[in-house]
Amino acid sequence: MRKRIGRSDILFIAGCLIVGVLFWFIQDQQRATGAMIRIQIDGQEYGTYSLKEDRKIPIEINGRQTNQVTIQNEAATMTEADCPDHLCMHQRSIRKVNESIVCLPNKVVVTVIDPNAEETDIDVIAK
Amino acid sequence: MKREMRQNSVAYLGVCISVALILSYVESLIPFYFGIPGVKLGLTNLIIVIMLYQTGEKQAFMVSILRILLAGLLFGNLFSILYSLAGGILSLFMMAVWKRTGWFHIVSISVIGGITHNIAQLIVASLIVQTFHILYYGPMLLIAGVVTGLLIGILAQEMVLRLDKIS
Repeated sequence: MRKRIGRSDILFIAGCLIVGVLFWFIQDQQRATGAMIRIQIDGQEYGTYSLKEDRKIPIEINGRQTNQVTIQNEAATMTEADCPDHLCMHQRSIRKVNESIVCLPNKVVVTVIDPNAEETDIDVIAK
Repeated sequence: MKREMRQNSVAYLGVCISVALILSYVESLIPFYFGIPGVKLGLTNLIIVIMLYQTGEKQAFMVSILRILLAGLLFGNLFSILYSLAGGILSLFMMAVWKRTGWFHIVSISVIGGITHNIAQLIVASLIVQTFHILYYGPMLLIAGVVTGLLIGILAQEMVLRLDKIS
């Protein structure tokens, strides 16, 4: 009978987990709670909104409302989407810098930003 | 010799594609959300891993590509095809390469598949939406790939051991 698992497998899998958890931990230490969210559609900026005030933001593409972002308790969630899978609506709420919600069919990206540190952004340089 | 002929037959590969399609369908039925974009259980990888060990790289590759095209047309859209193709091709390629080295057992090969599938999808997603912020989810997708790959790998391992006995 063939062996099911060997030493190399355990080392490999444990290594992957450790690397993942380590990076996650480092990221978690670095990120701060953001003050604003930025909404982008197909790489173009749609608007920035403060996380401090609760509100609903309808997103319109070519005059048709495709998505709705809701800000509540200083966190943003996607509350409406017209795409078939609704994956973006199941994503967790975002409140920390660089956390994002992506609606791939509509190419809508919602990202938490820190308005004070924005100039170091890769996207800004690329523009 | 006889076994090789059987496993290259249209009927055998047809059954493999059917099983892979059924698994795609089952996966599209289960609402399996982790709250992280791009994470899926990857049930179809089960049949691909089994084929990699039981049948061969070429056949696994054919079944994988056809499965993605058919599942995309049946349950998805052009986006999901593009998406899945990137994940499917890269993960199968990496699994085949690492299998050839002979260092690892099935479980690790499946984990490699899970990780590369997630990474490829993340890269395609960040190209489509033209923002690299979502690369931020890399570590989470790495961990998710290990966990789902491990589950699928254990299943595939048990299946291969039993299939070896009957064939």
